[in-house]
Amino acid sequence: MNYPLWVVPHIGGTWVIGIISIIHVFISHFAVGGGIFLAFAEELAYKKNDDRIYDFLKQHSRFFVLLTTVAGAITGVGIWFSVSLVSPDGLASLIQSFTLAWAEEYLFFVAELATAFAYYYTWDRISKTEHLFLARLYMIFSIFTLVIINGILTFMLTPGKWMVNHYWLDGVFNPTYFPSLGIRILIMLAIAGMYALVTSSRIKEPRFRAFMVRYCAKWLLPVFILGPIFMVWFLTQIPQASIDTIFTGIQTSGVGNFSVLARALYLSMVLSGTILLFAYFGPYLNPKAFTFRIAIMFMVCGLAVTGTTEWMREMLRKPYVIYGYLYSNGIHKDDVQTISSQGFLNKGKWASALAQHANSEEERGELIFRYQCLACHTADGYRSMKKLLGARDEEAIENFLQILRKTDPKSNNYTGIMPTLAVNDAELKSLAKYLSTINVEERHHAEQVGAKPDVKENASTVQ
Amino acid sequence: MSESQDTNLIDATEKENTAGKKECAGCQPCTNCPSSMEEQEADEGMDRAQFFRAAFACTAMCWGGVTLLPIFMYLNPPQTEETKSKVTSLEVCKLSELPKGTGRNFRFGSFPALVIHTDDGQLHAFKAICTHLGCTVQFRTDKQDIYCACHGGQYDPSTGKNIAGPPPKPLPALKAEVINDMVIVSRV
Amino acid sequence: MVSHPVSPQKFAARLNAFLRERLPLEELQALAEKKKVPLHKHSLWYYLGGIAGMLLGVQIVTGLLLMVYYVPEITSAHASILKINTQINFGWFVRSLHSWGANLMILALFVHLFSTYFMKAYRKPRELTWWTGLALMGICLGFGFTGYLLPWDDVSFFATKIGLDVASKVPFAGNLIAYMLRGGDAVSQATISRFFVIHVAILPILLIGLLGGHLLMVQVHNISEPNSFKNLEPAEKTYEKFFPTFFLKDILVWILCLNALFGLTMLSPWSLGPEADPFAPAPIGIKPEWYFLAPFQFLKMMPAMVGPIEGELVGLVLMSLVAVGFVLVPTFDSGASTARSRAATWFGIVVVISFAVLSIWGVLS
Repeated sequence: MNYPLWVVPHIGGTWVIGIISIIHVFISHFAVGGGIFLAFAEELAYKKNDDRIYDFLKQHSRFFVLLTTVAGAITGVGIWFSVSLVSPDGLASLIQSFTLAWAEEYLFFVAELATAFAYYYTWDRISKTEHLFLARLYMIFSIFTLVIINGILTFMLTPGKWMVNHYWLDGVFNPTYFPSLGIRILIMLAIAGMYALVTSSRIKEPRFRAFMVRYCAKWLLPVFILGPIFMVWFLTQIPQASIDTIFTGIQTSGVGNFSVLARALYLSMVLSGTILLFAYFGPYLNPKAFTFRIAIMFMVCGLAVTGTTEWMREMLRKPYVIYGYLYSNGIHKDDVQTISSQGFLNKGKWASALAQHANSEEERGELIFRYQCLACHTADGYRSMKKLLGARDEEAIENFLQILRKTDPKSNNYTGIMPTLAVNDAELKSLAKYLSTINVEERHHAEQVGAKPDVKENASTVQ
Repeated sequence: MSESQDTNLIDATEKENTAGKKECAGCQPCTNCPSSMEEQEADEGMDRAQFFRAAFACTAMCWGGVTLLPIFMYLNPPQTEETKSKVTSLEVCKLSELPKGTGRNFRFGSFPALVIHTDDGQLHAFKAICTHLGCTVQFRTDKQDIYCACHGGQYDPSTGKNIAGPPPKPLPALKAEVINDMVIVSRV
Repeated sequence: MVSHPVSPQKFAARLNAFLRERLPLEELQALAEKKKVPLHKHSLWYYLGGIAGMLLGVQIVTGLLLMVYYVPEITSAHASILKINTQINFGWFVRSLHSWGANLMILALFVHLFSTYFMKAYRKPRELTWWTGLALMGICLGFGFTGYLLPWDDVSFFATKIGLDVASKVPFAGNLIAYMLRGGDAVSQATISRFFVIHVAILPILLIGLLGGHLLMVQVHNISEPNSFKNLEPAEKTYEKFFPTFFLKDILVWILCLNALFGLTMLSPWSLGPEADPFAPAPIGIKPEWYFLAPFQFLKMMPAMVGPIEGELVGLVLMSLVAVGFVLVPTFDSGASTARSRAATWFGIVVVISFAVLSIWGVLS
């Protein structure tokens, strides 16, 4: 509300951030896990004094350094850009709370980049001992980038003591910090192993290839042995309300007794299980037949699990950016009460300026829609309002908005999923008026069909 | 130096392979280990390979076992309305339909029950499950007792006490009364 | 190495010896190791049969689980599926796996059938493999048709009605066959009972018998090599052992397919329409399952009368001719004549293209 907003049609701003973030998550996990892998594999080469492992590592590190530095940096900056355009109020809050942490993150990131380049360009130029030292340095710096960002990511879900004293270190070392750090490192090791499987499947010499493939497969073991422990630890630390969201929220009815989140949870468990089996039957039992194509497919599966799990973690936080403090549309939870009596459009700097130029009621409604709904919804694409409104007329929409305005979970069962609507009475009417212009077609269609069940829906069940 | 280390590495790999295969074929694993100076290291490699094989197999089995959990949960029958709502009292019939010296079997919630109008004009109700092996018991009008047809157990019709045959315990009693000419049976 | 009195290795060895003395394990092992897989650029297609087999396993397990709660009775059938979907833990999951698995299995079978067709794997001595394969395909389509009715929702009711009406158009025996399958003049309780028995007892028995024959035949004749590979110099031919090398790769492909199946199931669980009402008008836009869409569209396309004969009958005859073509192809194209080989390939191409075009047309219309 204090800043201008970027409106992305159809896919919504969420997915712009989402797509960039998912790529960034993959690459950053590559970077940290790969850093650990390089250090350990180089130690193996150093101990065995085996030139073939060195040659392999040289090949391996070329694409690795290129990918992590270039693509990692681009997507990292991309997240900053997209978030500041789509969700500026939330970002401002995070920056103000953790200025020092962000600065440190930046420092470690620069150090990581520098050692990465030094590592790659000093192959064969410095002694093997010195090069091993560089590899270890790179590993340490890349782990440190995780140490900071993990604090901020987990803080968003479990702010912990920070809610009371607003002390930034309490925010960083919040209740889910350590379990999450553990899980992430384990996942990073697995991803590093999968990526190394791809590169080692290209080794020409069969016996050495079999050795390397098997070595890389072992990197997948830790996450399956220790992962469940950290996962249980993590789940005991998150708010009960968000666990409830997993099993009851969002889309329970119609498709059975599981919500979409629970299904995603189960999918990610099933996929990780099959990855373990894959690693066992593929590279471990049968390293000779482990081809490049299979390695690629394997990695795609692994990334799919990581993506699903990350998506779930994001969904857990609904409807907050900072759990229990700041809603995903950038409105502070504590401000909702004041706004609903004094009005929203005279509050934020940018929003109030725009409101002065809004001539009609619809325009004011649209302005509220942008600031309070667009963070998650679009008019006609992802989580489409057009579809969700159905054939409701203005009055029905108004009544529905009245429910969303309530803070008591008993009278508003959307409290766990959606931010409380923060508007005064006049603004609520404007919003309803604007929303009723979105689903004109739907209402029209419903009038024609009458009270019959939706024909389209029936047809789709034939498939 | 480099050369010997090198063969070590390959040897270890090869041995892992052959060990794996031999176990598949079920032969005695690797009885002809090389007796050179490399033996110790080779053995170490073997052990480590065995450890990893076991670790892989065990974790894979654990994760595979997890998939059996949904199947168990699926087969575990859901709590239906019937078993959830416990019947506490029931109208059986009109008193006129149950003359003196007769009994009547009926369903009381999830189990069979029996109500008896004895000759002395009193009503007695019991859970109609024989305490011996769970058959449903009945009231015999000719012998005026509660009888289990499976193994010939007999109970006293007014107290439910086991009087003959194999039943080890008396029948659990229910409360029977007449309200507005209706026979009502309820839990004690 | 320190050997414990009951080390796992010793135990395994003893168990092995015990079994070896009592079972023909050597022969079985020799048979399993005899099969070798030629390595060439079309090797990819060798995985399809295994995929279909794995999916069959999923169907058997989920089918057994569904039978625990399903009630093949006209007033309870729909309710029991609804109960599975909503009340039983993971019921929606088991049912969706069964539905999605059925579709993926038929897809895998189609690809398997056409890939073996175009690789000319039906030629002597593999005619029996080919024919059992065709029969298995028919059985699986039968599974699809009978299973579709069982949930007793509105679309399944009308799809069955239409399917059986088409069957009754077959000359001479058609009416009788349709009448027997339907168990009367209308789709009713009798139809559910009959379809249930066919789906869970008759077809599985046939399937297991034929599948055993099909696999035995593959084992006896070894895996077929396409001409491009067969004509290579012996030195240029490369093979890998079926067991364990190819088999382990098979497992990897299965895992990938299972992942795809789980993904589909989780992200888009199978839905259930409203309960069938035999007296309600057919829902608008009703269509059969995708694999029956092409014949459905083909029959729709036929004019009411072709000369003196009914249009649907002409359509049926034409489709039967295609099926007969597939059955007779081993005798027609035995490999001796290039012209005939080319004709068979063209026949296959025309069938695939028209199947695809008709199906897409069916989806769009």
